[in-house]
Amino acid sequence: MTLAEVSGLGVSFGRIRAVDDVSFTVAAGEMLGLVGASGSGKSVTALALMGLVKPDRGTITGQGRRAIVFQNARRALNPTRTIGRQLADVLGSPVRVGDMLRRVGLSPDRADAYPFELSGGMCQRVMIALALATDPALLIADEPTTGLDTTVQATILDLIADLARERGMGTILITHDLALAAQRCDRIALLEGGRLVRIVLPGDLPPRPVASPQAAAPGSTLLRVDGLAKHYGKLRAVDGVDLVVREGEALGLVGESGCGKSTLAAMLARLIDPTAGRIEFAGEDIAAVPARRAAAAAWRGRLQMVVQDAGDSLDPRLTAAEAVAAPLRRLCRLSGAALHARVAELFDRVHLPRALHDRLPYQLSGGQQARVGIARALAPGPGFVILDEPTAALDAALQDAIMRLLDDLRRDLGVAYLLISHDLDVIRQLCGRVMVMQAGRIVEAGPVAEVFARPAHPHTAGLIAAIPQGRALRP
Amino acid sequence: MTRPLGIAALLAIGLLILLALIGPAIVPHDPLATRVASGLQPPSAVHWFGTDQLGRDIFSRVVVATRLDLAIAASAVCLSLVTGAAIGAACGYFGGVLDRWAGRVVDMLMAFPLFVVAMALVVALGNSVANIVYATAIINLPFYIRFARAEVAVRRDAGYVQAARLGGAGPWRIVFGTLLPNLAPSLAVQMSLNLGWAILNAAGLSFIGLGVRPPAAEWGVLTAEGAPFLISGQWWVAVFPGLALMGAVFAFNLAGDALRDLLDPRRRTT
Repeated sequence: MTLAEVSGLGVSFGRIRAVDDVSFTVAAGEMLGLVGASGSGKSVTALALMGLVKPDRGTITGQGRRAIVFQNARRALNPTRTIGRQLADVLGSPVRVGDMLRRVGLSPDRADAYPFELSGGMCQRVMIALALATDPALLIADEPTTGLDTTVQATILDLIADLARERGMGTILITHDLALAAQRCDRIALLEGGRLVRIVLPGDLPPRPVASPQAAAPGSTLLRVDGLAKHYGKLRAVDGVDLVVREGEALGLVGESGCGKSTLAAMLARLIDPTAGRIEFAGEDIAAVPARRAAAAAWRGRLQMVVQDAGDSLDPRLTAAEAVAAPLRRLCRLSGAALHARVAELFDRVHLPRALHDRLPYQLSGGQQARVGIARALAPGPGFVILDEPTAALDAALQDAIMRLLDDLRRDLGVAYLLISHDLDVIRQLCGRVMVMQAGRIVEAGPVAEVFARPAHPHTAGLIAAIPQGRALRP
Repeated sequence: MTRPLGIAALLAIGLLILLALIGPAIVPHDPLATRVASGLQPPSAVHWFGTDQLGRDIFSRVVVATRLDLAIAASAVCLSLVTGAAIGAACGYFGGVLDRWAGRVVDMLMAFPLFVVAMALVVALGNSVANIVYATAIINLPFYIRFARAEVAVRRDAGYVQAARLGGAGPWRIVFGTLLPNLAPSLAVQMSLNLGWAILNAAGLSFIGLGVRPPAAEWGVLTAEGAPFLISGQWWVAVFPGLALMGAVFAFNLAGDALRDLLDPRRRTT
């Protein structure tokens, strides 16, 4: 039975063609993937299916009700009402609320919780319950796992798949992650620039090329950390971490959100003060200088960090060139022609066209913003750079390009990286050694190949099992 | 996006500024020249707004008053903007003892009706134009302190602030070089809304006999002088200065609203 038939769909906003001549069908019990980069028209197609935007060409026919699960569930829920009430609103009565919560794997006594009291994964479960409350024949899941941890991602997608099987529901899974779609979907529609490129079967996709992280040439010790801890009252965000980074190596740090990896990074970058412990950088105890005076320390330029979320990390008032020039002015005392030349050189290094010099952050794309952030961190010529989720906000194709850039820069400049990510794939492609963090502690460490092949700690095994396996990113 | 009200308000403000600059040079009569023989004449072709009890031309006096009124309001608002934003930003960024003390002082100021505070200040400091400026600045201060404090506290650990720290910027450079410039648009809105209120406040103080004193022309003083004549039917003596005052307050408030609509939604929703 065909639940939805889309033929020749076209949607325009003003003069912008968001969707242009897209056709596909979804049958009962089938999971169709809708895959493309950001701006390829995936979400607009979904909105058209839901009747939330008006197509100006083409037809959408089909039977049964449709429901949608939006990306970023926490924001899609009403923050001032308990989830039980929100469910009751859709169901029409509070009688079946507990039952619905149980169906999506939540305890019925969670009905009195407000969205902010729930984790991101739980909010997504509530969204799914809301969608199921209308008893739909077709469920549209628009990037349902963006922003969630890899392990949580897997359970959410399992839940959707189970519910679909149980009820014979058709599903459309919208994602930018082709590997994920290949693992989950029966058929995959590839979109690009609002057009349907083709529909493929998961088996047609070539396997992902195996990355070969070079074994780190053992350089001398650059950074040595002993017993580093950060306590916030009773909470032990980081609880006694020891680590060593050698010159020129790329060390990975993985862990779920909330495990303390960003706190650890902020301490290493000397943005916040540790509660206890020692950070020795190039033979000097840099934890001895309080964070508020770190800006004036001699080592400030040699120890840099690429701040998470490139968009937010750029001052909205400064042009790209000014953002890169600021640390050069203060840390390297450059000015005039020398400053200008160095900024231009850095732009070339990160493959940013010089025409973008005078753009303000909002005039840059996500990938360009990320490159400006990288150029800024490299500006004072650091020996060690902390990269906090450098690709988290980017879609798959851009992620790839940024990772290749980071790898090249490390080889060319001989900088050492501490790469923080919740995405094991990113670590695997870039790093020689990896550390796994859980609840403020390092639970496992070793060469990437070894840790991934034979995880010693159950938490590591769980993280690895959650990665979508073995497909190439590009069609 | 066209906003006829906002544009009208901007034009009105432009006219006010023009009158403040060249008013005394273009008025038809000497605003201080008295001719008791032709006192309390209704509006006519010679005296557009009529004359007061001493035969002074009310139109000339209303126009000349623009300079004094705008000068008092603008200097008071600038004073509270600069000090308030600096204190508030420092409180929001550093927190601690400074923040607690500044917070208590602001709470204390806000606990009184602000006009009463202004009255008390002028009486205590001495009855002069300069003290009207200080009093108006002080009662405006809490708004700027609170606003700058809240906005800076929200942005204190934003990505671009961390990036500035990594780039070698010390705390003071971050507050005054990175954070405050990013608040400038919102502060401009606040300032424009505040100007109308400051004009009203200064005129109000003069109306009850504090600050500007006769025979100097000021809208509050002019309205106060005309008030007794309302009962005997010589309405024009008080009504025209009152209308000028109302128009000015109106213009600044509308311009502030238009400015906020222009700047704020984008800042709030993205």
